[in-house]
Amino acid sequence: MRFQDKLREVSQSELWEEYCGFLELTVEEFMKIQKRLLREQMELWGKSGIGRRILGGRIPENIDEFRRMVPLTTYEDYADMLLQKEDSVLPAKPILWIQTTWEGGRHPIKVAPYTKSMLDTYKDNMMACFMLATSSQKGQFDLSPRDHMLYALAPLPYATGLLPVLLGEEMDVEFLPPVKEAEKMSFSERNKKGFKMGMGKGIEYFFGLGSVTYFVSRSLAAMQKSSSGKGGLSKLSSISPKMLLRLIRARGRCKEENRELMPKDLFQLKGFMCAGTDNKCYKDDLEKLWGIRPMEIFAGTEPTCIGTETWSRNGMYFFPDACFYEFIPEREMERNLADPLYVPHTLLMDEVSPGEKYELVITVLKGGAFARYRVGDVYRCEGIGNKEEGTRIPRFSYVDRIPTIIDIAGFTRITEHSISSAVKLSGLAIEEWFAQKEFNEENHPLLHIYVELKRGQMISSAVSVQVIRDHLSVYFKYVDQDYTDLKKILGMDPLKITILKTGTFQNYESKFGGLLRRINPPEYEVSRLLQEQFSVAPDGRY
Amino acid sequence: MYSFGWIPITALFCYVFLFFAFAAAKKTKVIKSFMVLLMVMVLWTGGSLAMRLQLWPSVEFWYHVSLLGVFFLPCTFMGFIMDFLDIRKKACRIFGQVFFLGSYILNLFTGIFLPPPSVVEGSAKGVQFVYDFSWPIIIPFAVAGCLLGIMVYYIFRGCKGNMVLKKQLTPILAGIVILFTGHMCLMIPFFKGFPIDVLSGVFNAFFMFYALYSKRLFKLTLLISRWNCYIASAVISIVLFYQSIPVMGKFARESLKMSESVAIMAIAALYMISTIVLYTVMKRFLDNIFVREELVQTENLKEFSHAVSKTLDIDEILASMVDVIRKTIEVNKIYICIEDLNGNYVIKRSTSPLDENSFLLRADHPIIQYLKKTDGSLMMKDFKRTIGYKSMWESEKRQLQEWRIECFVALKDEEDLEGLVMLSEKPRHSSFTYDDMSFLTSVGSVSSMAVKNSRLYEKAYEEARKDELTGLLNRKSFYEVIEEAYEANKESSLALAILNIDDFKLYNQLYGAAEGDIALQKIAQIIKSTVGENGYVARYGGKEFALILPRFDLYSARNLAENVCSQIKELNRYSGEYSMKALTMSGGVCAIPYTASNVQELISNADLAVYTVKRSGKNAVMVYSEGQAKRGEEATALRSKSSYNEYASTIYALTAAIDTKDHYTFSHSKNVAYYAGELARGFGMNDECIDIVKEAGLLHDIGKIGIQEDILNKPGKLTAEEYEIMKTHVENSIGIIRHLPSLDYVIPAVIGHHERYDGKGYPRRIAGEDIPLMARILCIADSFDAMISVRSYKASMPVERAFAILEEEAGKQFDPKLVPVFINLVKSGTIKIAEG
Repeated sequence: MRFQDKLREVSQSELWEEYCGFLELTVEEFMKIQKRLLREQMELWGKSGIGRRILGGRIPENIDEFRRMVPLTTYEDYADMLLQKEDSVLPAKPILWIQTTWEGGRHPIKVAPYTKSMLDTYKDNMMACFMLATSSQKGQFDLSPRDHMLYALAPLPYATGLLPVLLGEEMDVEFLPPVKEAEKMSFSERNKKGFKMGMGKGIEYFFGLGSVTYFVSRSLAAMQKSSSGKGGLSKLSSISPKMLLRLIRARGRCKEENRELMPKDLFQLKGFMCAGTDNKCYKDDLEKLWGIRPMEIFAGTEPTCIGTETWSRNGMYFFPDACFYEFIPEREMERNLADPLYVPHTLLMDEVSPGEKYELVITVLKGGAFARYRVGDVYRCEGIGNKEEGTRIPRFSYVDRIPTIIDIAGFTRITEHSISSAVKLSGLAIEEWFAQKEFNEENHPLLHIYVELKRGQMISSAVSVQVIRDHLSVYFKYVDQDYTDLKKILGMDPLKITILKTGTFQNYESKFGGLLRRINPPEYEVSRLLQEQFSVAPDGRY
Repeated sequence: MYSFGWIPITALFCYVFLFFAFAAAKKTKVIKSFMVLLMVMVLWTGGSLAMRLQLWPSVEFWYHVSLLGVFFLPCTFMGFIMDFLDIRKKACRIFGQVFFLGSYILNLFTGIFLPPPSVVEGSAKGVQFVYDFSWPIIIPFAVAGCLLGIMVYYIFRGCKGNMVLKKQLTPILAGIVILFTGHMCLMIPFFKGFPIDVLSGVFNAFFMFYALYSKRLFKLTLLISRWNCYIASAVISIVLFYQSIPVMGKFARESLKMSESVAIMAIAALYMISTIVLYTVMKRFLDNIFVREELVQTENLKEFSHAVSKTLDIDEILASMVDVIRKTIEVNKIYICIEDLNGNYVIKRSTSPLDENSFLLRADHPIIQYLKKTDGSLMMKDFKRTIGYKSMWESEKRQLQEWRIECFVALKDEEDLEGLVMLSEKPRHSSFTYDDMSFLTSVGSVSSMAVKNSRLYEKAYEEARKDELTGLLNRKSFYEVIEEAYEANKESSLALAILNIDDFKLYNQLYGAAEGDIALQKIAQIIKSTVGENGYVARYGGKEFALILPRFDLYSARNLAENVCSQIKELNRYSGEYSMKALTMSGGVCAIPYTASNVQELISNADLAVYTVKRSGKNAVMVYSEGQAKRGEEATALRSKSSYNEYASTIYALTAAIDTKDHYTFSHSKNVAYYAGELARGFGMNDECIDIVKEAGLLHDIGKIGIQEDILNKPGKLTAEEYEIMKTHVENSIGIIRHLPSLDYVIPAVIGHHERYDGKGYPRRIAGEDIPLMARILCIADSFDAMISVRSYKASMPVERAFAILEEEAGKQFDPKLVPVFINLVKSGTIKIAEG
């Protein structure tokens, strides 16, 4: 039965129980589901080609053994088997392959197989997200097949392209613009068309990457401004009388309040969801623009849809049936970054502590390919349950990618490898560098690279901050398509350069016995290095 | 009677009928509200009817009764809507009740809103009731309008985004519209004189009734009770006769020429007969429509309960269960799973035996977990909506989907889930009804009790028949089975093989009782699998097994017994880190009619054959023959002769090893072997035992190889710590000897030679006769030699002094029976004091 049929046949409370019932679980019940499904996955995965290769033919008999025998894995461990899209090595037959870019990988893309059962779970969890996005209290939601959705997400084979496909299986929600048309359009065309259609039909849901929804929302005012000029009247024919009335009233109100037109003046969203990284930078602004706070969901190519916030928008909960979750405590993660040979130990959902940060490790259930896979995301445990929501399972918030990856607005993932390539290609006389993710005064993310130039070359070549910035920017776009999109779609050029005094790195190395990590080094190391430059003479002498 | 008199009568009848019907239903908050609403409608319609009929006591009285109903209609209606939607706000409700009660009381005394009508008689239309409206009537109308507005608001709010509630509320909304339209129609001239308002009330009541029914708040068949039929037939009779009595009276008097009194009697009799006929016809009619199915179900359930109460055979119970379900409910397939010993639920009975294969629901299966927590039955479609469904494996989902399982019925007795019934879909995709579910729940509760009793009985029966450790028949049931087998096979043949484990006590001493139990289980398993379906196996004694072999002759019985023995011999060959002692069996075979003529003879002859094998060297299987007890030599001895000579080289090698480390220990061991051997001989032990004692004497201190030399040869007294180390030599000795299964028979003597008769020794602190005799002998020999020899820490002791100590310690350290024997043997010169 499709979800929209259930809306007619099944009571709201039963539907809530079916899709959002996981919020009522105790930690013990949650773990029971996790462990039971992991046993199924152990059997499937252990016998598969992937499992046999990683385990060397041994089959774990219980969960402890599984955690002992299976090493923590990265995409590197699966690449040669998965990139061939060879079904025979997988734990279960895939229905489709989802694709994403492989940051710093030896191949431009990563692919992940999705089985029928994984997709069913994805669909159910996605519907739970939709229900929660429209809810203002426990047990209440407002979904209708007659609604319209504006979405700002990439199409298949990217994971975000699954949404219209899966949602379309359950409800006749109209996407603005229709999925097939949207696939052929450029990003800005799609936005314009979406809003234009929204003016005629209304928009009830909005879903996209946090940064993209922000950009789209800001561009609405600009679009309105342009449409009110020439040809404004000719476009009125596509606006429904209801929207026209709203538009007139909104314009009056904006004039009165001396502000730009905002989406909330025209649309009353039922549900607003965002995914990706850096959402915390945009949430407040998006709430101001739409009059409703976006609900964050957590999904990815390898892990599928794994978690969601609720009506309180105060921390997320993991779905118990998507993946088996393990958590590497922050200290263990740092130790492992410093010494790649060190094997960090992991905790389970019933062992996490409030206030602690953890790197997520997943085993995809229901025939997924990845076992004990390091996704590269860091979460903070906000608490065990929430009195307000009546929940008892651990509540998390997304912190960021792991320190060795700099993710800007969910668009691009910059690694040491990509910066090194850009530096090398630019031919700039850069002696040493390190980079970290920072936020500007508007709380928007930026990539801050600290460079030390080669001694002696500064006289023979022009190497101002602007020159380095422009050069690196050009080469980032060259080596990283996503970086290009960042500029093209969001109009962002998030690069900041600081030139350090020559000899700073050398001085630091001799004083502290080694260089600091090049990507997101710990804060105390950065401040030590920055202090060092004041004790270095320009020629490198003390 | 005015021309549309039947309308208020019908309305009144409907309200009363519904009221009594619901009186029998389970009263939820909504049903109670509905009943209050019905009561208000009864007051309104009944009062109005009685007023129009000008019944006693007065028109005014009935007018006020009717007005009470009318005044309370808005707030009771709102109460019903709020309960239906589960709205808990009470303010509006209380306001409405207070306002209308106040207004009614005010009107009762002052007639301010609507005074009683004046009765105008003699018009063409008969009696007329003329109302004198005054303007304040607008006030209650306005309040009622407000309440109506609030109701409509609640309904629309409830419907928003909730399709299911919308569907349920549609008939209520339709009822309100009809009621409202009915009252509005009163103003249209076309309906003048027609009680359209009352008729709309009837429709409204039925719409509300339908809304409750669609919300599954009551069972339709509950409406068909005996009392409802009485009331309905009485009301119909009254209405019919009220209308027809004048006509019938006239007809009786004028056409039939009956007198007044006879006519009255005849009409009364006719009234009575027709009421009875009406009741019977109505009851049958309604039974056929609503109750027949339930009656069939009840009858089937009764038969089933009766059938299962008569048997303790689980197969019979499950078969009856499948039958009764199939007979009553049309389902394609039925599977019954019963809990096994591991807590899993396996299919024990089904309508499709081919589907059974190895399907089981694991103990942690979400459906099992769900049924354990709840009572009754579970629909698959409902289960899919629970969080438990999320933890189901794909293979589990697939299997249930393949079989199209739609319903699960728990067989639960108190907290224990004995089993469950799985029902596949019904033909033509029809769904399980409320009655089906009630029936299945009833079958479930009857069956669960029967299944539990049957399983308990089976368990107790099995326990009584079987040996707990090995799962074989116990001695008691062995006698029963052999008698039965004899009765069944006395015309052909019946063989019996008794197999007794050799040196099992030693095995237990070597490896402990737990290992001994494991060995017994393994042996039982070997025998059971070898005999298979060809016979019966019993644990005849502690270490003795009996194989009852119907239709076996002596030759095949002996072959089978030898086959078993050779498998058992291989049992410990590859077990564990070190080689364990091989287990051998001594077996005796006898068969009817060849060498026995009855069961008693069969058993005693087989026993005798075992005894003979034991006496002639063990590890063999012997077929009983006449006079065998005296001819032990006929045993097919498989065991090579065990003797001191065979192991001499091993023993010599071991003792030589200790000699290299501690020369004193070597000569001491030789002396102890000599003294102990002689004491054993002097105490009357046989040659075999004497050899064992000698071997034990040679090996008793072999564990000293593991003690540091500085402790072994320390001049002076050992410290407490050193003494503790020294004491470990006993365990060390055992550790060495147990790796040599051929020498393990000396272990009991070696392990006990430092035990004291009073229980204060080491390592096991056993006392008295619990210490093996050979160990007690060794203890005396060991101590005596230690006393009279020179040691690194002491000079030699005179023999007399040693005797004195032996006598002093008799009953404390030493066996009091052995001490005098030893002293006499030395004094008599039988035992010569060793030199050095």
